[in-house]
Amino acid sequence: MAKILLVEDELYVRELYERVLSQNGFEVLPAADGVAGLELAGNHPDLILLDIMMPGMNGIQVLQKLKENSATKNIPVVLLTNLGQQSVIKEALKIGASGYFIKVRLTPYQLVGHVKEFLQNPSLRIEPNPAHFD
Amino acid sequence: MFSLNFLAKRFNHSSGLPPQKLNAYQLLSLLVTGSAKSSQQKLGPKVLSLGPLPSAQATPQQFSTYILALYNLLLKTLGSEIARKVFESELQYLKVQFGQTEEYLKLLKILPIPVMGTERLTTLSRQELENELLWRIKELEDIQTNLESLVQQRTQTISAERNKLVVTLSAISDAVIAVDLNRQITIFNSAAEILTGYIKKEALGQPINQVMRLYDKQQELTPEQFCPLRLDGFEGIVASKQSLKLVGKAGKESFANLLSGQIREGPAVNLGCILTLHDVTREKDLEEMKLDFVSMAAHELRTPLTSIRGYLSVFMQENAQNLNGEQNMLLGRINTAAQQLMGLIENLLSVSKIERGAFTVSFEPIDWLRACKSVVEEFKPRAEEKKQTLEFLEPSEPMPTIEADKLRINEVLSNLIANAISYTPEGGQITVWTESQDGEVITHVKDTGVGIQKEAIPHLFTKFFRISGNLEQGSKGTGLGLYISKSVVDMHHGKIWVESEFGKGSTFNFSLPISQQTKSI
Repeated sequence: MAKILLVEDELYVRELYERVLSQNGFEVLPAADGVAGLELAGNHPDLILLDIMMPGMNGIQVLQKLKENSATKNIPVVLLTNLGQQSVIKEALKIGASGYFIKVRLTPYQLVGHVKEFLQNPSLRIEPNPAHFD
Repeated sequence: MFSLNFLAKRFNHSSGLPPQKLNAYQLLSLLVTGSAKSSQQKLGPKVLSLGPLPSAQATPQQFSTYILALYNLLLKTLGSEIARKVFESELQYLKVQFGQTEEYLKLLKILPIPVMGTERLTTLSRQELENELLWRIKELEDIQTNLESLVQQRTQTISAERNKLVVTLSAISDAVIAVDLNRQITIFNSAAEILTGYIKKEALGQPINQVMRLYDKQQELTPEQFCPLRLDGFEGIVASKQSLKLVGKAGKESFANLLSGQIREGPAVNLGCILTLHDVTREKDLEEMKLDFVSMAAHELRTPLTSIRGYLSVFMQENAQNLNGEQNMLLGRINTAAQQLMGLIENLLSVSKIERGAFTVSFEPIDWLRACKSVVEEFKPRAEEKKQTLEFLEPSEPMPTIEADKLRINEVLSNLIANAISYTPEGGQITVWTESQDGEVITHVKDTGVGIQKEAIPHLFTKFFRISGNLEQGSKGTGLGLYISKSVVDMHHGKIWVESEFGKGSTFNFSLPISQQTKSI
């Protein structure tokens, strides 16, 4: 059973994805902030879904730390975003994130579908589409 | 000139002698009368003001004085050449009429020194010639002194005017830059130095685009565009643009409103345009901050929206078996409303991007025929719900590939079709077709809907304009759709317009150039 670390500070959104991912056969490790997320990353998840806009340590900072740590740097990370500055996504991709999901545009089922696709083909990378951004 | 009869009459009047026997003083009288008369035609009352003509009994001194006064009058008012000519022609006439008699030669000697005639010169001794020359030289020196003084006065006036201009320009807070007919800088005030980062010394003589580059939204303006150089004697404003980005020395960026003017005499004095730039950088910054707030707000709005859509889809999925048609319909409406909300937020953000010039389009080759058909297909279910026919008419000729931003231009067509469906009652008809002509592809969306009143048409493509009296609940957007569509079409260098008859229906049309090559920088 694949393990997914879900780092998302918004309660409703986190529980929404947790529910649907579990229903689809994934083991979900939920984290409500960056600190918890980094801790749980030690449990060898197969994928990390990482929210960007979080209070305290934001997604970019978490990503930085994940990539600096030899234990976690090879775990694929996909960002969760509700859009914003294109530059932020670009920076994250540079640091080593593999792609991004636009939360408001996907139903949870669509998101799970993409997650499955991604786990089957981890080399999939996504370039920011300028049309997406604010 | 006088006829012999006229002279004879005058002679008879003053003495009793036949013409040939006139003495020098009599000849002198004739000369004076003749000169006064011929110059009187030019000077009228002024000559009369010199007093009565000397009579034949007057002394040579009196004659000389009168002639000199007459000569000076002519000199002052008509210039030395004409003054001399008057006397020369009178002398000539006397010589012809009466011959070069001894009396004639005596006459020449009596004439005052300034009244020069070549005739007289031949009669003068060397001493008299020298005196004559000295007098002439003095006359010239006087004229020269006068001229020099006049030039000095004029130069001072010009200098004062120039200094007034320089001081005024320094005090103006807007940048003032004048260029000559080669678009090289001839005037560059202090405000221009501040705006561009170049000092006056660096800027003068430079081509304008070496000192500043101007961008309208993302497009760079050529010097011809902001400084047209009309040579048809036009006077006035030749270009006017708002919120241009200005890039000066070392990439220094600012924003400015531009006014470019010409004067009628411009081409004659090698003056091209006079540019005035009003710095709006601060206003732009404030605007930018406001818009970033809009971005933040939109971002915040998406969070609960994610939950609404997400939980609704989960609920419907998990309870699919237990829901009847009615319940599904109710849930469906929540979903539709949530989607509309999402569209609204997207629109708000597009507008904010457009406003701050951050809305970009990226062109790629598109099979427009296929794209049109696929958008039409997408909307067929919605049209069916309202029992409307929505059809795409096949073009009579093959359609070219066009260079456009696929996502954006699809949004334009979708917006027009969605509007057509919304503003057309049940059972209505919507037709979409496209054609290519003159390097452009024109697409039409025609409906048999409520139409648009004439007064509303000019405002149609502005922000937040909504036609009152919607046919269905649920917005057709916020009134931003057409504004965004127009911005997208404009960025493709195309045009969008509508033909409509209130009560009958509307046809929305937009053109797209097939190739974007010639239009880009």
